[in-house]
Amino acid sequence: MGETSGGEPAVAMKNCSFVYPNGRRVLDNLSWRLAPGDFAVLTGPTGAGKTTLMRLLLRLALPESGEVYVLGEDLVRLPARRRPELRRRIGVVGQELSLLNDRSVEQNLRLALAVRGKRGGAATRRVGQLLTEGKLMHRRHDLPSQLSGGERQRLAVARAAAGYPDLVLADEPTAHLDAENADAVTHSLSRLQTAGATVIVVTHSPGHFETVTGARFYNLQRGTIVEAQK
Amino acid sequence: MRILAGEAWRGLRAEPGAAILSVVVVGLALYIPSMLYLTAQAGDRFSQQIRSQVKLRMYLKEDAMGPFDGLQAQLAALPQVQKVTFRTREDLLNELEAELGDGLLDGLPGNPLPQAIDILVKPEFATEQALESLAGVLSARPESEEVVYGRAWAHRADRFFEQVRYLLALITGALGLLVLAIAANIIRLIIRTRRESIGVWLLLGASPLYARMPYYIEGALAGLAGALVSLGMLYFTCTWLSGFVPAFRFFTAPEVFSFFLIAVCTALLGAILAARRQIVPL
Repeated sequence: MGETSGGEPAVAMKNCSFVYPNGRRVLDNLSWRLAPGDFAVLTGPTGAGKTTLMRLLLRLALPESGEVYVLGEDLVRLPARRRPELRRRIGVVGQELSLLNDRSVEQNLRLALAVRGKRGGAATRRVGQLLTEGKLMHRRHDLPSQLSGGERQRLAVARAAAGYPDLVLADEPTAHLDAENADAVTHSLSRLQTAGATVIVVTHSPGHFETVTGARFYNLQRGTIVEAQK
Repeated sequence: MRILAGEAWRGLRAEPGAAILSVVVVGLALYIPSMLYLTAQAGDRFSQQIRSQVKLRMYLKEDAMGPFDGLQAQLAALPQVQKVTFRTREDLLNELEAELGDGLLDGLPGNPLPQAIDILVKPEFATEQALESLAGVLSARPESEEVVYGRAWAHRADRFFEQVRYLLALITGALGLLVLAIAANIIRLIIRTRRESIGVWLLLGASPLYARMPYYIEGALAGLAGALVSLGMLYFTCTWLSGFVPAFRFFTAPEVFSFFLIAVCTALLGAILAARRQIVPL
């Protein structure tokens, strides 16, 4: 795992505000700080701005005001040429990063490694490891469209884990999954945290993550984040 | 590289109709300037044939005394000269009679024509300027009475070939730009259809250059396949035309190589221009 230097937080948002083009304010002077290795579960009502917050952390959007630091990088001032380098340190599961439906399960994983410069034998070994961990070995030649919902989510988590990320952003990773598959996804994300990654999960079902050791629960409401009790 | 090439191949296979259409369009766009080039080559060969027959005639003074072997040797040694032939007065009269027809010269009291030397010029010196220069050298000889050659013809031929070359260069340049624009447009459309997939690549952390690579490969492949199609059409056209105009010939091996290189580079450049505009950092 990569590390942020000198005890820097993995994620730090300072006085962030975000307003949609229609004038609706979803984030209002929001401040939030996560240390490396934290497991944060973020809930909130629909339209509260959870996905917007994820977009800010991925540098797909910029706040109207305030600062966003991810893995030591100031996203507001981060030049375009350095964004790919930052994104290679982030694993994403969910709405923003769909699977490539014209590629097999194995090829989806290989691509995630290829963009990080991992090829040849090392890539093959890592793909095998990810397929095993995600219980997808028997589906490696199938297209994502041929997988069940649970298998697709497991593949998404495996792809996010491919490059040993420092930060994992998971948007509704257990949505529409049965209990068994939800547990499998939760377990995979928990394993990433154990390996040292900071994990942020946005969900409407925080109950799925209550078993994760050290998980902290937050509620996004009226534009700000409040830590909740388990 | 295998992943990038695989992505390019996957793209071509995903839309075979569009791929075939793009190859045919690139092929046609390459065919037209290439056909013009081959026509220009045939024209050059034809003009070379004409130029290899260009000659000057140096009429000798009445009082010039033969034999003229020494003069002939000196003229033959000039760099512009291919061959010299001494013409007697009788030769020239016979030639004139042959041109004018029987009986027209019957009333002449005698042969009014002087002796002459015909100078056949090397093809590369059969230009208006070179002929004028050589005529000046010949006129300066003490034995020379007058030097004649097709001055007006040389002028017209030079102007004609110059204009043809200029026009062909212009058309070839314009059509080259057309190939570039076609390749760029094809790649632009391909990228639009795969916008979602490109977004995934960029979010996974691919640099824009890395995400553009498959489209560069596709552009180069379209250029290569278009060149093959075009080459086939050119071969059949040349074979057919050479039956009527022997000067028509197909490309030589180095020309075929250059043709592929130019086709691939032009299509690649088009792809680069399109992809750089379409695939930008998120």
